[in-house]
Amino acid sequence: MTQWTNRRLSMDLDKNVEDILGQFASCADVVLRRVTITKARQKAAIIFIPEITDTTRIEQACVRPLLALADRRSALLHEDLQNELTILGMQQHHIIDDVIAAIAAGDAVLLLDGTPQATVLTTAKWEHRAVEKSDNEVSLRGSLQAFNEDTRTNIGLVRQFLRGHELKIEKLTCGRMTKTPVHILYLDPIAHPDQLQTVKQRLQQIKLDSVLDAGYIEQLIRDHPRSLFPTMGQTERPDRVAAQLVDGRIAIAVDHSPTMLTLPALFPEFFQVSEDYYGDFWIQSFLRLLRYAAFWVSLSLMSLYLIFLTYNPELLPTPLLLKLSAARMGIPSPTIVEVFFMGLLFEVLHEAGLRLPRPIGPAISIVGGLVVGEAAVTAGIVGAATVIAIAMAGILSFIIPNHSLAATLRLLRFPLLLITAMFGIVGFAAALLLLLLHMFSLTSFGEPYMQAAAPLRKRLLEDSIVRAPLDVLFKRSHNWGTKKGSQ
Amino acid sequence: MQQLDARSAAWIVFVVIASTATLYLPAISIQQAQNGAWLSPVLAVPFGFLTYGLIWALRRRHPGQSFTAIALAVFGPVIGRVIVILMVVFLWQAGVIILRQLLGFIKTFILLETPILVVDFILSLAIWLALRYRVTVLGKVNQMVGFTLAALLAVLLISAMPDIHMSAFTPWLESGWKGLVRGAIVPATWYSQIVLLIFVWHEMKPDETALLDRRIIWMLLSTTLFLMIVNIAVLGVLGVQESARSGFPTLEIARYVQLGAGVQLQRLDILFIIPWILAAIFKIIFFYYGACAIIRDLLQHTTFDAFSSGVVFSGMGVVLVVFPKASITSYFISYDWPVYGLFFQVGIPLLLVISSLIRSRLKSWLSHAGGSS
Repeated sequence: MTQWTNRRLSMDLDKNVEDILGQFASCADVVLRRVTITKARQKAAIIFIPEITDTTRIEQACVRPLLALADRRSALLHEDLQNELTILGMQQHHIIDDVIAAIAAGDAVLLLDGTPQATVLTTAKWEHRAVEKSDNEVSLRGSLQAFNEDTRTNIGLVRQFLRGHELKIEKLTCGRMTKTPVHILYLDPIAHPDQLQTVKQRLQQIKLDSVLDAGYIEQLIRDHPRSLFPTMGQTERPDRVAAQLVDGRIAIAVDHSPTMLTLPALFPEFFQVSEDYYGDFWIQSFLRLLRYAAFWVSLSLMSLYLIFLTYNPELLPTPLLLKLSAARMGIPSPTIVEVFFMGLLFEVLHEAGLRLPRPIGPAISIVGGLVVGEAAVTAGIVGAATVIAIAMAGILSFIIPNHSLAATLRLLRFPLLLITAMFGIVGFAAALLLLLLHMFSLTSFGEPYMQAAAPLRKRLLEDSIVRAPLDVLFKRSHNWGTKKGSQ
Repeated sequence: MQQLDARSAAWIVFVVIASTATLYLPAISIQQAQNGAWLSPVLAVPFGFLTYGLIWALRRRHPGQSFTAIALAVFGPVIGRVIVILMVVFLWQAGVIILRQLLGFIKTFILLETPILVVDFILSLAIWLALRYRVTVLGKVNQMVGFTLAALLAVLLISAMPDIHMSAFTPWLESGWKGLVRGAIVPATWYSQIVLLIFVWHEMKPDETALLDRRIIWMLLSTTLFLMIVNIAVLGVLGVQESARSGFPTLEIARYVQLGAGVQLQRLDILFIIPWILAAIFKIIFFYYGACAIIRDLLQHTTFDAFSSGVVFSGMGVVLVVFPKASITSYFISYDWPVYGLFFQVGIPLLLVISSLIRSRLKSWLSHAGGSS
């Protein structure tokens, strides 16, 4: 394990090189390039890791200019490098720790004999994907760009939408071993200062060895980390981040993660997509209502099906009841067993479809859904109505645009089903009550998670359950959950 | 920290009055007031205003103080404690009675074969878990439930309009004014349950207390109009005899309502059962909340998690022993409850206001006399 030294650099080049390379012992990828410069035959050394460094840039903007100083009489100092090297990014460091961290991050370090300093040259070049279409947040209108694993590219994509000086970006480092760069993005006059302060505090309090993805950060800094409900937004679309920032939110970009986090994130936001604002408000409002309805119907459909067939068949219209009863004739297992296991089977097929390679995944879903379902009904193991109910509940959950909330929904259906199986409609009502109480007790960075639902206020409904016309939305003098909103 | 807003507080009033009133009130009122029962809410609503006026006066005289603190300040430590302990018993008992009514409803209409103890347990468990949340959260969810119930009932009443027979209302006031007054006594006790607001008072947003008065007045008037329409629909569709005989006439309407000619929506009651159950649970929660809040203040705790289980589960145990049959509660509510309920819901606040006035006058007179001597 690396031992960090906290020592300062000395005047002796060889000692500095030895100290630095000592920390990189058994690191075969670290390269040391020595050069002799000036007439005084001053020694210099460049240390870097070629796999993560732009070696061409080192050669052209550092080594060549240094070798061109052969006629210089006086010794070269770090202060002179600004005028001698053609590389853009340069920083001087005195502490060995900082130098080592820079080399590990892909930068090259130039050491000069007779100076107790090192110049870090910005030469990092990490491999990453090109900017591609978003796979997880598909949109029919608007920008198709999605984030990739390079934070600088991602921040650049956001900047393309917000071209003013108001966009502020602050950098922190998380993870004792990974030293993962984490950037906080916000619009200066709009973002709530208290929330910004809270975010910074929580990020600084992270005491993990590794932060490999934005998901680590999300789990550690959100309110109510034990709750099933997501209280931070996740998106891979720059236009969505830009819209959130304009609305007073704060975004967090984590290096090597193609997802940005946004906060605070309230319940209605998990039903919204970027496209909501690009199309006609009537259609988009209808689609939003459809998503809300899908959420609640998907959550309760399996339980209601059980109530109707087991506890209260008299609540159904007679023709429907007769049809359902006929469909269940000869089914060997009780309804609860049938519904529970079919629900589980649906989840297994869903998960298998996700994890398998792309060309096979959809095939498994189709084979599982159609062939297995049809075969089970034909064999008389499950009722056709049960298959329809489970499939409907599953398909409805796919309408939810946010994967975290959709996963929460899929998980919640099972305890709700079990409580309903034990206590009927009363158990269902009691579970629903406790679920609502839990949801209303949640907060996201101090903002009530369900603030758009109660207390009922027209202006809060304008951009939650429905989407009001853009002129109405932009006329409003508030943005809930933001400094503007509190004015 | 989040605080209760005026809108949520107003919806507490609606749910406390209308949750059970829409279900039980038509039958109770129609038994007494016959076809004049639709006017009962109008005669009963003054009790709501009176009770609100009393707790408003207490709030003005003792700003920011809880009910327990006011009682101790006004009556002194001994009598004050006796009064608040009696109030705890009343609130707990009221919660138990509503629980028994709800159990009766569920056992009669929904879970006919499930043992009543099982239903009692699951309801009590839900109430206990709900009481662990702050009143702010309870108020918001209550608002959602109340709004849903009101909206669904409005749809039901609109759907029932074609079936209303105006002949059910003639001859006008067939039981006379006396019958009308008798029919308003039970709803009066429901209206005076607005006293529960006194237990959530100090959780209110300070800047919304002025707004609250307006909202409460509107909510009382709206609830009255709502109950009148419910009674009109029940009377008009079922008639006096059938309404008085049926335990839950509003539910009967929901079952057989028709929408347009030949389009029968069978079993529309399914739409109402869940919000109705939830609203009734909330009513019990607010009564238990009042009892727990007093105990918390008496014992000077910051929360009532330690003893809410005692309040709730003792109610769960007692309810089936004291009221083995739901019909006992119906009799109790119709004949004994009005006097008993009104004493605690109107009488105690009235006593507090009068005593508080006398104390302050006496104090001012004594200081004046002392100053002049």
